Amino acid sequence: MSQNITPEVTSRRNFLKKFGITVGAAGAVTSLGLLSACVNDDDEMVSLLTTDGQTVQVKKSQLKVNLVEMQERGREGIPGKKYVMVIDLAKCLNARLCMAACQGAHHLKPEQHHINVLQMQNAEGTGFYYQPKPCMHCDNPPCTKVCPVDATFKRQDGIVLIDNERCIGCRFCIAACPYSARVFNWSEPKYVEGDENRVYDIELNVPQKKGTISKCLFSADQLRVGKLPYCVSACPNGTYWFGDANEDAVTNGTSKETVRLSTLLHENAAYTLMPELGTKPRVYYLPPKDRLFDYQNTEKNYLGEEEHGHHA
Amino acid sequence: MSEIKSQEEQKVIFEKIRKDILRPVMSISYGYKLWVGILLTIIAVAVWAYYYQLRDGLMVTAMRDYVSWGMYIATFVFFVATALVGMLISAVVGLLGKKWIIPISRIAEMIALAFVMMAGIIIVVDMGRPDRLLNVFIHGRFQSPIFWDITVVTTYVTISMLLLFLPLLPDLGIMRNHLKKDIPAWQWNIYNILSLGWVGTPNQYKILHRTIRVLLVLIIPVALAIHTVTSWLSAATLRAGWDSTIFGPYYVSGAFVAGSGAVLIAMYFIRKAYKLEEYITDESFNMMGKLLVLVSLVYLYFNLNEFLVPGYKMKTADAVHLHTLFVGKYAFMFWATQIGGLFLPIFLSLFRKMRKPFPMMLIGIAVVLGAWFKRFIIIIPTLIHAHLPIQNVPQEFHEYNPTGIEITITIGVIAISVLIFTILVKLFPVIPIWETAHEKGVDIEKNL
Amino acid sequence: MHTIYKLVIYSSISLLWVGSVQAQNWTISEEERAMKMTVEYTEAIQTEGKAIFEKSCKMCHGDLIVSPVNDRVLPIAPNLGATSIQSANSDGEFYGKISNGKGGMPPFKAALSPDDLWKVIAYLRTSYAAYVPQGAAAPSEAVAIFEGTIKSLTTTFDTAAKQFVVQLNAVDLAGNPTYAMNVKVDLLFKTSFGYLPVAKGVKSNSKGQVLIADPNIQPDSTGHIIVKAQTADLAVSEEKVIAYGSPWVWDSPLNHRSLWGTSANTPIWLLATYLSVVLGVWITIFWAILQLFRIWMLRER
Repeated sequence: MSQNITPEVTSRRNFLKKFGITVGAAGAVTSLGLLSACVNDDDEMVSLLTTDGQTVQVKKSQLKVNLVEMQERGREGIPGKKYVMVIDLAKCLNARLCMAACQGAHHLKPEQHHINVLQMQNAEGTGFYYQPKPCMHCDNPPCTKVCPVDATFKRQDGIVLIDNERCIGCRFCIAACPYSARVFNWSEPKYVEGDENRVYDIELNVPQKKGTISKCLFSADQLRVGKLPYCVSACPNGTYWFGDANEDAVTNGTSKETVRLSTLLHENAAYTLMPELGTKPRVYYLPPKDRLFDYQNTEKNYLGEEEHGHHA
Repeated sequence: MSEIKSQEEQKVIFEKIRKDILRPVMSISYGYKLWVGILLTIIAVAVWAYYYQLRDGLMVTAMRDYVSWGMYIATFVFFVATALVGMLISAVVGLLGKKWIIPISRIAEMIALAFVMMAGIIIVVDMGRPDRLLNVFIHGRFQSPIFWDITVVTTYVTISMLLLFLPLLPDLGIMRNHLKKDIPAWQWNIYNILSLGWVGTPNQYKILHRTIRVLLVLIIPVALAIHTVTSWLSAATLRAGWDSTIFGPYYVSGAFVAGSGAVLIAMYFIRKAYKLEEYITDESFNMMGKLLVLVSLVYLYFNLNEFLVPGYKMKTADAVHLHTLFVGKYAFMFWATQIGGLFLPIFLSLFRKMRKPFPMMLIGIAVVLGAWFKRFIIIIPTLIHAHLPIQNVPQEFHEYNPTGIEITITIGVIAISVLIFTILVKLFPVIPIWETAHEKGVDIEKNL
Repeated sequence: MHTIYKLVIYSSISLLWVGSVQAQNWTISEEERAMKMTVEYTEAIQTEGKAIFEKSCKMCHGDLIVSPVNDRVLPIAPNLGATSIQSANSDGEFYGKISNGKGGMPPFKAALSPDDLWKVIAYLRTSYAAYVPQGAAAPSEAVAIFEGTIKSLTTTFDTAAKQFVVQLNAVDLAGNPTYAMNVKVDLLFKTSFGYLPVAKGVKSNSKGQVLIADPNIQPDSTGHIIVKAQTADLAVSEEKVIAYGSPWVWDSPLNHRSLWGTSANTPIWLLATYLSVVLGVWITIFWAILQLFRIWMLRER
């Protein structure tokens, strides 16, 4: 359903807004912060959409400056934060709006999942449940350990990012990740034609690039402007809690209710995926007790659609 | 060095050795041209296939998000494994003072060089962004096994070249002195330059022997490192089938088996094509057969540990993996490599009658094929079983069936390594003239 | 960027739903319809009901008082505080509907006990002035209700007593300043993505003060927090930055040398081992190359 929409135009507008760049209607470029007004020999012009919906020409050299600073800022992370996600498995009804919102925001193909809702069953004879699976943003990440070029790295706010301007496509991180959280651009990405002039945003990993890795970013671009991640705010069922562990508070993406992280984890006996691997995930799960759907019927999800899940 | 021979006798013996070994250098046969032609054709087709891979991305392969490493990495491991034989023959057996390796040590070194060079190339073929290769040097990360691998591969290539080149010096001197009239000027010029003005003075020999000896000692840890680090590419992950503490020695012992097989094949065909029966003797095959049994038994021991121990416990993920290998989708390939590439070669090579050139060549082929498929078995089935269920992806993500383009490129890269070897054995004497002559009682310092 | 996008998703989902949902009717048995509340209609029960409501219902139906309903669910779940809904349903009908669900609303029979269900209904009824408790529900206890107007709130943190003090500034019906007593106040603390309630519905004392014991929250690195005090009916609120707790220093994990760190933060032992081994090997290699040069120097001229 998301295939018909090309959000790059509106995104560019957001992009300009987000970084406080004002592009005047007369075509004069005012630089605030990132977009420096230096004039370079590189005279190639790039069209950008301003906040008031007009197209202006900006020199490519100016965008390059922008890229460097965005890369630096993206690698640094947000000081003092320690982002954490809590997924309430009892609430997940497999609506998959998280997956759709994520794929739309990150320009992913239908088979590329930064977040994937899995149909799980812990043992034979037990009921099934739906388990959204983003990147765990491990505190002992096996993926960043193996990267030969620092293309994937952990930031100070705990988020594991990928720099597809640097990634050499060796896919060692895919082999190393036990949560299968990483995807690869095996061919040209989806929006290659709309995205060619877009400045690469390391916190959004857009534009995607052929031959590089892509992964869940906890929507680092959203966090920078104080918003919840795309998946979290798209959920209609209140499955996701997201927040800063330093504040000991998480906010529900659906109800916007905020609770204490420690209380939530304690009361529900929260757990992490495969703790025996020592990866120290930053994504917690609340046990799928009192699920709000018929978990006996494994054939249909709550929308009445046929399920074609494969079990491990 | 047997009994002291007269000056006349020595001259005759040396003349014969020189002529026998240098004969192939002086002429190019029709068969050789045909062989090179075939290899070049294969390489041309592979280059065309690689063009498609560059244009369309790795989508043209069967690799997807779950099985994200395929034939290329399996072949990379195979190349590194086979290349280890240079160290095994020249350094380990050579430093033990075994004389039977003299006629085959250079073959082993040439195999090592050709294969380890291509190991570097196929890694680039596997990369999603080969244009960013330099990032490894610009942004290299000391914590990454890939970075270590690149370091050791480069080091091993360099030492292998030196270990091929240093013992060639006296032979290059001989070629420069004796071949001026028999070969084209450009070829003679190559030998002249490469010989570094070798005249065989005692001082030159002293330096030569000492340098070779140091490098032979040095190559042992470097070779162990190259294959141990290669094994860590898998063993450093958390996946069933790779998450093993014995992966280093398991790879190294397997490498000796693969390399011995490759040397046996090369020995047979070189001996046949160059009519070197007098030098690469039946005894050489006999000894190589014994060496093969020895390294295979060590490899068998590690196999036993690698499969029996997890098989005894049957931990969930290990159990799924082992079922696939023992009775599941990869059962045929698994048992074919274990029986055809390991059990049978050991069993057959135990008989003296089998340790003759032709049967040993056949066994060598079985061992090398088994070695390649064994690397396939090590890489792919593990990746098929992720820890979490594979869902919401197309069917092709669940399996790995190599595509034509992928197979073509792999065969092409193997063909390049064979071509490099083919050129090396044509350009340079495959058997060290001076060492052979020295062995037969010739005072090489005088007869150069 | 998401407006159009959302619309398409929601309309696709709604197409899926509306077809199946609208055709359905509530399934309520006559038995359920006739049921009477089995819990006392007291403030305590209503508060318990509110907690359950916030856990299980708020997700879709939003708050009872204000109605930020969940616009991601289609058809949009109705705001249950609305008089139209309250008047149209008997307690028994509410009970049946919550128990059995309909379309997108899951049946809560399994997740909530009958007692819990009645507590939720008791809470729902608090928004309906015309409600007459029936069955076991006793008439609600008489509470002295403050009749004047709250003008503003002022929050301070009493470091010595370790408590927050919310002072209500109120006027009585005649417009004279007075102490507002028995007014329910919430205290919230601003977090990255929302407001964390540290106290809910605490009543003011005879001095028009609400005292809230130190809830032990984490201040930002400068030792400040943003608190928001509001009356429970959300009529008056105040948000301000106050000094609380002591400043702390952010220990960035990037500063640690670790295997997962960047190349700039390679563990020293690894770097030293790696470099010394590689250096040692390559020095030997260059020595060997030097020997080649020496051999060349010994050539016959």
